[in-house]
Amino acid sequence: MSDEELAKDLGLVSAMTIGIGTMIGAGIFVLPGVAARAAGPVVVVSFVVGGVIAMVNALSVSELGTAMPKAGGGYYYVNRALGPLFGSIAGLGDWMGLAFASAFYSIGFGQYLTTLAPVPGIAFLSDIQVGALVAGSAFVFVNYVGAKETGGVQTVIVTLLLAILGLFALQGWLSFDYATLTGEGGLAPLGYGAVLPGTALVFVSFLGYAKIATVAEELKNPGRNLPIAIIGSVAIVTVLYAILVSIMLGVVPWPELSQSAPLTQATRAAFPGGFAGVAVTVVTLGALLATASSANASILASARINFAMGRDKIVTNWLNEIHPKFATPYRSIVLTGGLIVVFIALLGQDLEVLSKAASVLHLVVYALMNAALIVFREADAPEYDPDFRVPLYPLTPLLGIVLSLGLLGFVGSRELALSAAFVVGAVVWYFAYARRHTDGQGLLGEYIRTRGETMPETVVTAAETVAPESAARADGASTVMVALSNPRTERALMTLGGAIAKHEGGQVLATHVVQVPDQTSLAAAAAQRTNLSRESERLLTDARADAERFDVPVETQTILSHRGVEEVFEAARTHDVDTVVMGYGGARLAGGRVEGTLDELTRDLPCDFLVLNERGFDPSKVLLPTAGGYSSDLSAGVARALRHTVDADVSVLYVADEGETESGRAFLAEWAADHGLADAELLVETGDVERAIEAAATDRTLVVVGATEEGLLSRVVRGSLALSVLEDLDTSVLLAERPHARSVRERLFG
Amino acid sequence: MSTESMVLLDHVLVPVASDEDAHATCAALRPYLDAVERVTALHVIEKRPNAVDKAPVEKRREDAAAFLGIVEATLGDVVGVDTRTAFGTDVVETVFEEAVDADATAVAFRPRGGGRLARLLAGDTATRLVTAPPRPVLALPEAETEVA
Repeated sequence: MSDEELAKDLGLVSAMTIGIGTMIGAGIFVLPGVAARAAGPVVVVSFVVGGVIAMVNALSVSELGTAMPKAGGGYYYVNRALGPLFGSIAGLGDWMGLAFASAFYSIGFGQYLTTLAPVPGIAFLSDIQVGALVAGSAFVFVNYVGAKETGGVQTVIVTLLLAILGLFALQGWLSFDYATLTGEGGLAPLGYGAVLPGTALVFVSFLGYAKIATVAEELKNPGRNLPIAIIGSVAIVTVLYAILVSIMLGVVPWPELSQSAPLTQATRAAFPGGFAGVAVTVVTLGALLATASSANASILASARINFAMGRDKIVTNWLNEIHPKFATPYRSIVLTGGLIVVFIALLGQDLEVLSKAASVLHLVVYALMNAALIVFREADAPEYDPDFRVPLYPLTPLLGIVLSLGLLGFVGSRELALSAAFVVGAVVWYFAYARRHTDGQGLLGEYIRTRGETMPETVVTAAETVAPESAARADGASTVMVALSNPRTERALMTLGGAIAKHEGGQVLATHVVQVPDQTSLAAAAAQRTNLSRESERLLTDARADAERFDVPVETQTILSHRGVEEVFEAARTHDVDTVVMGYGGARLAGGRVEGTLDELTRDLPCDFLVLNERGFDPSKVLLPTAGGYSSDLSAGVARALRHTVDADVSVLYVADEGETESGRAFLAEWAADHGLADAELLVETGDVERAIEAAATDRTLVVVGATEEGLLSRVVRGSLALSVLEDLDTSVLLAERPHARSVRERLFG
Repeated sequence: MSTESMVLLDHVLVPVASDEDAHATCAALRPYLDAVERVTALHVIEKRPNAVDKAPVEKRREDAAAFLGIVEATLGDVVGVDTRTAFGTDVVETVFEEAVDADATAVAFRPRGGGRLARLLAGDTATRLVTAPPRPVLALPEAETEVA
């Protein structure tokens, strides 16, 4: 089995059990009593309405999840589409929502635990809270040490739960009495107006389906399995809840249904005398199992959200460090665990606060996710290509927004205020911390800022106010980063960079990469700053002067690094660069040393790469050998830029098979016309490719080669370039590699 | 040096588990590098089959690249270094699978100790590595001074 297959080993059943296992928890075991007291028998409708709202959102999550199977789920989509301000709200909201939910599940665990065994209350904590604290701590501990349970365990747990609930439903059906269900006041003794507040109360029972999306990158065939698992688990759970709650209310009259352990009470009533004891114990154990599995899954999902946020620098990546022995994101787990404990201790007296706060924060995230979906579709990002599309667009996501926000109206002011405080906290966090650190601007922000003239001014100003600080630097125009390490090649590289920036109306970012030997710490290197900075200053002053010859804006920076080429990739990503120009020597220098990493890197180029092997640089006579490879768009662009800015004379060479000269000529004419080089000199040769290039290069000064296959750059770095002629030529050679379409998509989406 | 030991150490596979382990393993291996032709550094990402791992796979991959990078950077100037990242449910089994696959002549590792509790929870990899190995296994003594 390949490594890739091993990394993606979650099948449909596993995915489904994540959803169902998270949803069937305290919600169905604890809330029917509380909700029935508030709504009467129509609480069944409350559950169904909750399922419908969840289903509309599930459709949107499915589309987003198949377009971007990435860790982080909701946060990830919102951050990409709406930018880091809303990303912060979604990420922190989802995280806090999960912490509230976990606290709620733990309280549910405590409630059933106290029916099984006496637990002492301590100080201001009730016995239920003490049980919940013990349980919550245990869940955190299990996640901290990373229990080695296999997927089978989760499947067994969920199967067992479904079996227990199924058994209850069967036996309950036998004791079901419609007269008990309707009671004395009819189906809606408190009026139908009580339905939606009931939904707001029980909606926590549906949190969980979106968690499947947070592990989407580990799913086999996510394009198919993700939508089936998400939509399927919501459907199954909704039907199950409707049946279970109907039966509970048909067995125990609604005003009498227990507020803390309703399923136990209903079981006792439904099972005949002799079996009641056993049945109650089994149901109670089921409740403990269900709440534990929900809490466990939520803690796990919160670590995924932290990871995604840390990667985008919305929170510090320090949180995501993996424990060297247990291989768990222990810091993230401890912090989430701390929040859960605090929530249990401070708010655990009142189950409703916890469950509703969890629901509110999730509903806010769902609304933002639907908005993100609309932005992705409307911005028409070519990289956005979901395998699953919501039906009836744009009705479905709009309905998702309306239903999610609408339900907030029925939650109650106390919980709304609490959740609003968290949302405000997320906004404060963004402006105080994340705005300075994060890079991505989000599709919406880019869309508005690049169409500054046609947008209302207030909108543009607003977008600029909330944009991350890095966006102010990038600002639409294309950026050519020139990576300099050697004064000798400075002028050649800056000439290339300047020409391309001028041609595209962009700017140049001259970067001096100082490679520090590994034995020297970066701090020590910085201490020798005077020497270094003098050298760096001289180099960058030259660079600035060279760029100014082209009359293009130029910025400079110096990077100290152990990692050389890797750092160039990193800087290209951070500064959202469009093209990197670097020297062959610089690329080769790091060769071999970090090969493993570099292989990964060069397989996923962050932008176009131009690598110059300089031999007396002179761009006046350009030879462009092409076979129409996927990077030839880029090499043609470079040739056009040189023709436009330094009046280069361009010849295009195509090496045809023996006897195919005519068709070769036709191909080349068409290719040149397509690439704006119709007036260039067109050469068609036959025979050996290397020899033909060598012959044509003799009276020319610069050979520009587009990579014909992936990984050209990586081979340059490792010194295993197949076309050895490129190293043997007497003229300068420029290698051009453009990221594959797939990598462009990955660059934009993560 | 006899020919057997030359052959034995010809191509050594070194599993590294963490940042700190990579540094310490390199330091521990350094005294013997004269006899070593080639080093393959390996990081095994533990996977639980069909279950959601506690840590995101992407994070594990990033970390693996960093750990292996340390070995390359530290030993690369003395000896040829290859790197591998492997996924496996059983770290020890995967180490040997990779050793066979890479055609390594021996597996060299640094016993990482750990308290009894940690061994109980995380499993005692050292003991399992030296039990019925398909390739010769060397337990490296700790280097006297660790390279920071």
